[in-house]
Amino acid sequence: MTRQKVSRRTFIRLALLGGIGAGVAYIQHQTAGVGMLNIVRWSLRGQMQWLKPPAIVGLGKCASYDVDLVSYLRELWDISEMPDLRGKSILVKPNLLDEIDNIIATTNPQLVGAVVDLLREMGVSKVVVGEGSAFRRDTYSVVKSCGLSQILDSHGVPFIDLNYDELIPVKVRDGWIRNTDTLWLPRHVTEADYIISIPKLKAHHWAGVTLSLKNLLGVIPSSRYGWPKNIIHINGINATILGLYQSLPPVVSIVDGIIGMEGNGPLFGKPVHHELLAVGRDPLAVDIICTQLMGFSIDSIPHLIGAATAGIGQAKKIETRGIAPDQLQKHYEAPPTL
Amino acid sequence: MPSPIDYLISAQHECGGWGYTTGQKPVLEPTAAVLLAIRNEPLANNSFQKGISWLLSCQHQDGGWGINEDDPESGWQTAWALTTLRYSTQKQDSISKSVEWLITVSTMEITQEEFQGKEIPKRDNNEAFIWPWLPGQAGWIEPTAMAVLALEGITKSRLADFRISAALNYFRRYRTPDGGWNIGNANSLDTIVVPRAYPTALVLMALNRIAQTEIHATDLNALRQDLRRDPSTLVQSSGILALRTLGEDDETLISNITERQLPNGSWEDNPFFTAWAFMALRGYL
Repeated sequence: MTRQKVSRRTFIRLALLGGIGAGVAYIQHQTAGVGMLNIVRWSLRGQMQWLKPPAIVGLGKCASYDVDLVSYLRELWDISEMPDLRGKSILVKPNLLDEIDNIIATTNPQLVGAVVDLLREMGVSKVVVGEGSAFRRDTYSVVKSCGLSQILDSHGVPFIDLNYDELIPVKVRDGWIRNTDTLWLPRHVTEADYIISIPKLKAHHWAGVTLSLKNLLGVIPSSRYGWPKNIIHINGINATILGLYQSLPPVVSIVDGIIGMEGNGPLFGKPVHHELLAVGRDPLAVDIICTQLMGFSIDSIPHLIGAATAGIGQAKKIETRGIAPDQLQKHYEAPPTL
Repeated sequence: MPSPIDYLISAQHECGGWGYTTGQKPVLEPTAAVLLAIRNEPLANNSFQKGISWLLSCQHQDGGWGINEDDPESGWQTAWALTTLRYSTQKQDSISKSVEWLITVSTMEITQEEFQGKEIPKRDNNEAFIWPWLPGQAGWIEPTAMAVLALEGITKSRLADFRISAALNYFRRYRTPDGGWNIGNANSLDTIVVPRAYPTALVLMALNRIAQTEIHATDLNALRQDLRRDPSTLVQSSGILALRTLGEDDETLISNITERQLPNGSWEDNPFFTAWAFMALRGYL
């Protein structure tokens, strides 16, 4: 029996194939949690953003909540090429995480009232304000103590505690939420034509920043997932933010940065008189700009990097309008974990 | 005083359940709360039986309950269902199954299979044994307090006793320095969190069942302090109920909640809040 000789060329080919196979197996192993297909899809979609038009973020400088906020918002809305909301059903989602004596941690009620006024001026068919507090069994406790209840009463706008709304199972997309194909979401969320996310501009000890995207976690119903939105402790806060965002109706952003929070946010930080209002129809773009205006690198904010990489919004090309960013630049104290 | 019972009966769905708000599809927690509130009311006997039937119809094969009849996953609502079923003399097998689910529900560190083994799982970490909102997750104050209330005295299981004693240790360790409890940790990155009335009320009611000597005066002070801050009907009712359970009636709080009752007998036209307020005024969970 003669031994067949392997030529040098064949050997190199086999070694190359073996190397590629080992590489694929390694990547598959490393990405087993989310799947290589997802990673490829996210990467391609992220690169596709280069082919799309830039996201527009309107920036305003507003010294106080005791001014004609509707005028500020109207101007920012107009320059930011926001969607036409005539006849639409709108859920306004402020950040009402919790209320602690002498700490400003919630979206300012005057600003929420101004957003409602603006929406009515635009001719929306329906507007409700909703939130599900992460720390309180009754979100209305926060609504009352932060002063929002008076504003809502005077505007005749209903408040929906999203923790107790009727729940609708929604299919999750894109592989961000592990071990389930369904998220239970409040009816007022699933039935809205648009969600207006109005976060308080804050540093956040876990997510880095809490802005338009992170603010959306408040719609997760605690009556299903527990307080404080316990799915984030299992699935991870960053993946949950991205998975949730992709399961929602279109979201647009109005960021309350008139007084922001630095340091140990979202509850125990210090106020920053930032005088910033930011508006945009792409929450990722708005959050990137706001993060930069806080003086943080987006590289340190995993959910923004994740969203940018996966093309969940426009991160490659962002155009700001209104006040120039350098006039709004601050350097927030980072949260202890950043 | 208009009758909350009439309101609650009128708010009941034909199938027997109640929603969190008027007209909302039936949900487990408000249904259980209403059933607990009306359980001793002869006028509501039919309503109670219908509600129990709905509750039983939602029980999963594994013995637990989800948020409503469509939710396939059993979770923290099981403690509410079991607490309620304790007052129904029927369906002992349903009670046994739910006890089994509750004492073997998995945590972040211990699987259900381990809990179902012959020996109690060994872990150095006390928190590995306390109750999560959903299986496989970390434990929190509220589901732990509710599990204690549901299980205490209903089973002679060693595992149940062991997990209840772990709950007691957990309540000791997670008490805020000023007394009382928040939803979980007593501090966040070295900042002490504010004790809140609702979780404090649940823990006090649980401690009252298993270790009365562990209730500190500071816990009651923390409860009262947050009740002064938080006007919520739900929170006020839970606080009043806890105080009454401990023989610490507060006439001002009781008077305040009584005054809020609407002409139709409800609080805020909301079955869940009405059930809590009614329980608070009756003085039992």
